[in-house]
Amino acid sequence: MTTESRPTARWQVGIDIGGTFTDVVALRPDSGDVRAAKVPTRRADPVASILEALAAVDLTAREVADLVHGTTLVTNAIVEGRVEPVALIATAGFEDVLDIGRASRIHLYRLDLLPKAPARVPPERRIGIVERLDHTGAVTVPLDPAGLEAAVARLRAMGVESVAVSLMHAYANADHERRVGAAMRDVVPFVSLSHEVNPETREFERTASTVLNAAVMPIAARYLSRLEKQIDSGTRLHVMHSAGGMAAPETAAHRPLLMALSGPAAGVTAAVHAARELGLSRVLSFDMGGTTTDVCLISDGKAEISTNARLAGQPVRQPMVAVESIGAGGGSLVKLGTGGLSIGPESAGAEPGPVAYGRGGTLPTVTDANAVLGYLNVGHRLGGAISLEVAAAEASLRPLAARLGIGVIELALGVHRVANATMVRALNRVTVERGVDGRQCSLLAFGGAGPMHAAGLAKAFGIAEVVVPRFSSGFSALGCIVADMSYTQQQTVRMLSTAWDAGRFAAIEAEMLQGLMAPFHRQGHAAGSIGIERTALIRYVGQSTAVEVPFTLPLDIAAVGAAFRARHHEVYGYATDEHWEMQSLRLHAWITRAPPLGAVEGAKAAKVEPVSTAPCWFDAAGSHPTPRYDRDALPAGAQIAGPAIVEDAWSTVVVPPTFTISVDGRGHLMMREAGLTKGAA
Amino acid sequence: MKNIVDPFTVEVIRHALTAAAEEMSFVVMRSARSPLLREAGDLSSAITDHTGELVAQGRDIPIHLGVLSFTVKKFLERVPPDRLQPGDVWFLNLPEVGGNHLPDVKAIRPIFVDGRLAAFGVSLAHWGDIGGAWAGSYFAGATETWQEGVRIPPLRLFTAEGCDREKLDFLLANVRGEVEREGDILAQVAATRAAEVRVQQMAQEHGWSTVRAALDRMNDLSEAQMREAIAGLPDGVYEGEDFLDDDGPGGAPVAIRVRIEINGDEATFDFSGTDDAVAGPLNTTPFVAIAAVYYAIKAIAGPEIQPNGGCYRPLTIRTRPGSVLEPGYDRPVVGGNHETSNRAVDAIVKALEPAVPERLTAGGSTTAGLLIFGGRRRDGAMGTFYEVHGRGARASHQHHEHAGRGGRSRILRAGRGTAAARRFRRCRPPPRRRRPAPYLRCAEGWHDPHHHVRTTRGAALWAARRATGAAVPLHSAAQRWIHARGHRQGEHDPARRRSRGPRDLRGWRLRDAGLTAALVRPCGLAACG
Repeated sequence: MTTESRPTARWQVGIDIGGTFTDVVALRPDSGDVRAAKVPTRRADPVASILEALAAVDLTAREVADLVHGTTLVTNAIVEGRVEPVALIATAGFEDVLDIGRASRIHLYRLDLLPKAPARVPPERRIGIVERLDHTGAVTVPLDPAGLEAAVARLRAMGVESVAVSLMHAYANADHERRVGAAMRDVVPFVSLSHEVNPETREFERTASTVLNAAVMPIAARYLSRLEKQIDSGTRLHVMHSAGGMAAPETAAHRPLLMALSGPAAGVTAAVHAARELGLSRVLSFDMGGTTTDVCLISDGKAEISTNARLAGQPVRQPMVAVESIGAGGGSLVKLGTGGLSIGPESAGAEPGPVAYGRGGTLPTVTDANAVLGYLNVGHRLGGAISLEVAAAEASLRPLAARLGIGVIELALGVHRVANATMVRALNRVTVERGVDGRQCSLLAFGGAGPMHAAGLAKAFGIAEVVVPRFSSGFSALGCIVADMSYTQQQTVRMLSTAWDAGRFAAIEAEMLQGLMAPFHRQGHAAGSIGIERTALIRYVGQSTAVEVPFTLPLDIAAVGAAFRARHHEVYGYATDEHWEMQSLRLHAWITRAPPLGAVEGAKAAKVEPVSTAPCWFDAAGSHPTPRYDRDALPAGAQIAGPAIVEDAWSTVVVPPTFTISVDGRGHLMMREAGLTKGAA
Repeated sequence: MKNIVDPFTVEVIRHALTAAAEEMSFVVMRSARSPLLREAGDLSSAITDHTGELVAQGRDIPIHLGVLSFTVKKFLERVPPDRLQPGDVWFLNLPEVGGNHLPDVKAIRPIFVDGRLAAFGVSLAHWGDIGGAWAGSYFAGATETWQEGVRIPPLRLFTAEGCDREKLDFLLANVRGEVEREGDILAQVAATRAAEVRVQQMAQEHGWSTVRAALDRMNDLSEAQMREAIAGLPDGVYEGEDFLDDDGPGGAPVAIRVRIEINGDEATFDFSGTDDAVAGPLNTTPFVAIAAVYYAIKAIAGPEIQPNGGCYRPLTIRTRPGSVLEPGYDRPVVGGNHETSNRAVDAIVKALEPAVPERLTAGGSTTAGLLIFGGRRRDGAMGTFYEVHGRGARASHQHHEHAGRGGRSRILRAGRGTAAARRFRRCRPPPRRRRPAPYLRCAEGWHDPHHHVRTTRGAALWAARRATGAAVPLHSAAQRWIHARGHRQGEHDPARRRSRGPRDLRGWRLRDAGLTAALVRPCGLAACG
């Protein structure tokens, strides 16, 4: 191959594979060129979706410098229970820790619910191994080689692909786990070690996280290796991790649990970026896709991060964006049951998709109702790739309308409202249920269906300000581009302030740092471009939970102690002069990428001209002649009063009669109900 | 003038109050020192209004939660509101002052808004030790309350100026593990402070008159929902009973009897037929009996109803003075809190079998499964360790196929009465899997501790009786047996001393002097912990 045939790889590409569509946003930082597209997701072959997405933005694999990828692969595998069988190796006597778990019930009073989710590893796949460390990492019972051999033999007989190893106190000393892991690698291809997945105390949570990691490891590893084969060798591949940063593929393959919320985290990251850009202090990110809707509270430019989340009822001790997800989106099926009209969680997905898309769907969806209301443009639809069949959508809704004894329009309006009411529940969970008045927030709407429902949802929830950001339809893919490249590592230290061993601390820190930097170095980043944040997790002796105390090197014990007491006082309202213990050390390393997205040109034309005008329904009283505007043609500063539809190739912003919409200098659309100011209601 | 609050604001305030109560529990769990609080979470939090009416509660322990409102009401009978000052935190544990048992110490903080008493933040925490005859304060041989530990009448331990050191030192001098206790006390104070901050924020945001109106509305809503739930139960008179094996030190089975009258949207629970108070520590307080009713009716009729004062207005609950559920203030009660209370729940469940069999479950393991020991630690301090063991859940219509899965959902007491149990008797019991476990040495040789701890109801105690060969009262037999076991552990084989700890005990060594333990029996459910 000759070198001159190779174009320079200059493009930063973000690809987000959702349940319905795969979004791509490509940016060329040196020229500021941006391209975006959307292709239907091939659920059976996600890698093919990526290649199709690249083709859709006219890029060849070789032109891509960085490919950042957000995926719901791991999330869906966990939530839908499509995980691989796992064997568990634990210290003899502790095989049943998953059953024992915690004594709390899922619901305090509901007798009809299981007290807790059943263990992921059945008893016959749990193997006890004779060994024991104490909490300092000292060997109490040495690892028994004969026992290890027997365990290997049992594992071989089980025929599983993936094994989780979680030994007592492995966070304090990984030696036994490493040896067990090495022996197991001869028998099974995928081994998850607890000190790598979650090197922290509490064996139930550590074991559960390790088992979950093992359960998704074969799926993630196969997927990522296929993907790496498909992309160019000169392209750096990254994966979005659950806390809204990027991770290297080999890290993700090894610790797939990092990707547990990869897809939603990408959207939240883009929302954080937009919130900072707009200077909004409280933002609700509202990502309504085809299959699910994710909402997250962003306060002061930071998304809420949870380190103790649960997925499908199981603890996942990994830092993740605190996203509330509900199974309803544009493709969700409309059903009429005993409880009335309901939406989802069953979805028509991308194939066959909504009836209106004419790809073989026959069951009515939320999108079909929106098509009937006239919100979707019959003329140009979804980049020309998908045509719109309003008549078919109407026909699919007619039987339901007949059963209810109302007109199709009334039904479609009802579906739109019920969908909004469903979304209100999700918004409630991240605001009201945490004591936050959601009406004070701005609603940042994106995803394929988000901008279509934003105004109605804001009205139902009492929100005054709606933002439809630039690239709203491929917003998660944009999140992949604007995300920092970051890794976080936490390690148990357990050192008393009265018996401080500076040498040991330095050794732990150095070893962690080396591991943390490895993926950056492998990708050729200079050490100087990497930011490092050190956080000590400190507690009083006897406490379980530590408070986070950021510090810098060289470590000053007295200063850290003072900072700890101040922080403890801030969190709990008191502090004592006792000595303290550093429980763990957390290192966060990142490379900031602030790609220039370019501004939108200011108003040249005095008047903004609609592309066309067509009737739309906003209430049952009658249709309004509604002008449609091309979003890409709107200049900065443009103001439009509703009713109006603003559309780009992939998404539609519905501006109901009482709302007005304006375009800011960066291409974000700001929508307000006339006469409403923020905070009123 | 009645303030009308829009439903959205009521919801915001309702959730904010619940979030505040949950935050209180998080604060205790995160900053307390004893494992019983920070790991096992044997604590509860509630916010009441200025009269002690429940407003919000955490996701904690129903038997505690049902009691807390009475703690504040009875506290106010002893301490008139004009003696309360902003910044006060009062501690108390008297069973007769809205209490349950001595180890559950309540911290009460009056919360003032605009200079007026508006609410109370209440943090209950089970102290790992409250003094008394044995480490851990579960003295199975107790025949009087004074043997069970230090009795704390309402005591102002903290004021706006800070801690009243002399009072605190007096308390700490009477309990084991004073460093750990002091840390726990600070955590409770911090929890009540969190409640104060949240309530005052709420008042600032919405105005107290709006919050107050929202509270009234919430009470009315819960009452209406509870009335609807009770109306869903068929009218009639239902009777049920359950038994304690004996009174603790020994004797005949003790009956807990309930007569339930469902009349339209109201229900009466009459425990007058319950046996007389017993000599041993399995008596309990009427407040615990009420908490048991609250738990049962919510679980059976309205699990999703917001618990507050209004929720329980349609209920009338009677206990008989002199009975095991209202024994008089001088009686020992430590075990009754979670053992007898479960019998009360089971009596209710059995009584309602003819009415709503499909909503009920078979009996649970009905024990708190406590294992307690204490002694001198390596660092010289006295300490106690109190472990609550997981128990099987109750088999239900929905989940019998899961029963026995991993040994978690055993079907217990099949054939003893409930329809569910009878129905499931035909199910194959879960296979017994023998678990390798560190062995302990007792008089007869090495014993598998799990065998004893996990066996339900009387069996562990019978085993203990066999082990010692003595015809002594059951509870004390268990105590002595474990006591003896502890001392003998490793005695004949010094090389094994270090490695034979039964669990991860960190700094503990079982063979250290002064080791005692108590095995107290049954209680299941989430109702206690």
